[in-house]
Amino acid sequence: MTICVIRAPVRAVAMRSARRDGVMTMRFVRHVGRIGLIGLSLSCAADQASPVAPTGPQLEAATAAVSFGIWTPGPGECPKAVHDRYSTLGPDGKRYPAWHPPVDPLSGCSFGHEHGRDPRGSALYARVGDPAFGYANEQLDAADIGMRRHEDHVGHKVEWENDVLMRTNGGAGALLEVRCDVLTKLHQGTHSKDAFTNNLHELNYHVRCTDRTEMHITVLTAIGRPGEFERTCGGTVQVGPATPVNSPNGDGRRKIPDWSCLESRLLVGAGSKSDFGALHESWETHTTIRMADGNKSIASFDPYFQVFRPSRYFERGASDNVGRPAALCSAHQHEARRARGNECDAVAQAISVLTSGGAAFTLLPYDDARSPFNGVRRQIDINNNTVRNVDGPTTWYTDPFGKNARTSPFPGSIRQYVSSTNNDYGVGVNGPTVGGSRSYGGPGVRAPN
Amino acid sequence: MPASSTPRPATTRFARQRFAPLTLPRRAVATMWLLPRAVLTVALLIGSVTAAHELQAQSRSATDSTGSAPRLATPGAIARDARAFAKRVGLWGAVGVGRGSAGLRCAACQSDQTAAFAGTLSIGGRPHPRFHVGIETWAWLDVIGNGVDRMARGTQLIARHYPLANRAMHVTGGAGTSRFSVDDGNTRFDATSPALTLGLGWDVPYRGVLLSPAISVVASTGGALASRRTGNNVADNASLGLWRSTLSITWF
Repeated sequence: MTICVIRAPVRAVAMRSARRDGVMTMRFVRHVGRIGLIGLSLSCAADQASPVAPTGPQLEAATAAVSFGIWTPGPGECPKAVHDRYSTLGPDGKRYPAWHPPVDPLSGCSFGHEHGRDPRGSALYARVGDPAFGYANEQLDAADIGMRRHEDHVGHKVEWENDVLMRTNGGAGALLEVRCDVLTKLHQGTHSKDAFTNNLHELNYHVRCTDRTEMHITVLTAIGRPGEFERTCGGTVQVGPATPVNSPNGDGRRKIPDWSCLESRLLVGAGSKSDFGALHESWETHTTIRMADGNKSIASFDPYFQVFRPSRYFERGASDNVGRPAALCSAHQHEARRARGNECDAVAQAISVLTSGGAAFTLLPYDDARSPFNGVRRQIDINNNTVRNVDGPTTWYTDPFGKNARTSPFPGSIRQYVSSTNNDYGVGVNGPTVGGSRSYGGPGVRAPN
Repeated sequence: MPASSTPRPATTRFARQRFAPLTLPRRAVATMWLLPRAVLTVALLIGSVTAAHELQAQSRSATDSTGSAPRLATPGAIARDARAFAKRVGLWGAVGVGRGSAGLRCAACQSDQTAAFAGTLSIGGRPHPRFHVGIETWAWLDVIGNGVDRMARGTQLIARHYPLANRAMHVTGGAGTSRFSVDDGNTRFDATSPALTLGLGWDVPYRGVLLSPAISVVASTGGALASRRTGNNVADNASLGLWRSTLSITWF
């Protein structure tokens, strides 16, 4: 694997960290950054391994985690071997899939899916490295508590933002100007029936702030209750048994649109446009790291993960109860009220291209790369990064759900980092929305994504 | 759990606007204001001196009722009075008021400087005609509105030196502690830290006292910024920067 990547964020990150420490440091780091960039350029030919595709002997020899190698390409997409080169070693020494771009930069082939923002640009990347997709799921197996939960490959979505200005509540809170680096990875599959019933999803949450708040957490976070979800427009939908059936209840909720939410917003008369904003999922997580002794909370955080125009909605009675927005654009064609607007125009155009070849298409396949319903637009609300660990140890070992935190490892435990601070100041410190201005679509990116 | 998933609107409260981070255009505007501020400070000093001279002249004119020509307060006369004051030893005290600009800097602080009223109260001794020592307490209060106050205050041991023989100019140095706090009646943040003061002033005699326009700078570092509501530290190395221009009345 030889990919020459000169990473501008190296300098940006160095500059940002220098800004905290002073002008002199900034000058120093500027010089170091320049030298580093020059050095990186010169050494590029010799050191061309992509940071997320380290195909060293150690990786090749590592045991594959369950999540590794489970993706299979569709027609015209990159070979599986190319995809599997993007991997990393997990804390357990196993080989896990890792972030990769939608298009392989070497061969130019498309993987047909994306994992969000390149984590290498995060200021936290040097601290935490590549998120190992499926590590928490793997640890659930290792915990041997009669519960297995493995998730598909395409649902792993990375998002990050550096130097995020947090908001404070209260008049005195205006004195504070807390800035944070945030790096997250949530498995957020929005193309299948999985999240209709399954509330356990792998979450990597890393945050480091100027008030010394710092967390590096990997868990299977329980979002709401298993077997059900909340409709975007209100109310709970009971769907069926969870997998695993003994999934714990969690705080938060998975808000997913169902047909009853969409009908009035999407089916409109002539001259109107459908409100495709209703096609929006919000997974509102609340994760707490709790001690084994006394169940005391050490840390908690409540990021909300939102996806716009996913490739599914809940439609009871449909195959797997999964409705496809792309099909909506073709349905109800002979009725006065039907889906209209730019998204449906794109679908109609794709269908016309398909039929021009002589094929008889009336519906655009949901997994066609031309469909605008592919879930590539997402955003995260950063909420309530809470640390209650003053004078406590920074290294904790928890079960895969973030509970039973102890200072020594145990079977199935995950090593977590929580700063020895308490950031309860009597005023709320919350983050803004990040990622809302980005789209992670690319050539060939399609549902399932 | 937060109740809503919808992106929240930007905070619009007044205090937030006051402390909004300086964008590049705002920095430019702030820089542009430096010159007028400096001019204003110098004008205040010159005005204070001039006013003191004028008051002194009027005072002498009014008390000269013998029919002889009014005795004008010439620079020479003022210098003579200043020399007389300069020869005194013993206790002294001073009260001053003025304007100042202060801001707190730390890794997690909004560091904009804001201007507000300042005051000083000093008392001490004069072991040598050209050397004062004493203790000074000072305060700076910025009433922002919506119940939010920003206050800086401190107490310091000070030493004042008159480097020029029989001249009124003096330099003041001090060391002590300072505290910067923001209080909204519900939550208070404050940082206490060691502080140093450096000042430059001028004494003008007037009716048995000295009018002393002065400018001074207070700098502190190493303060722990904490929420007094919860007792938790926000930052360990908060530093206060304050400059003020004051007009003091000094008694001997």
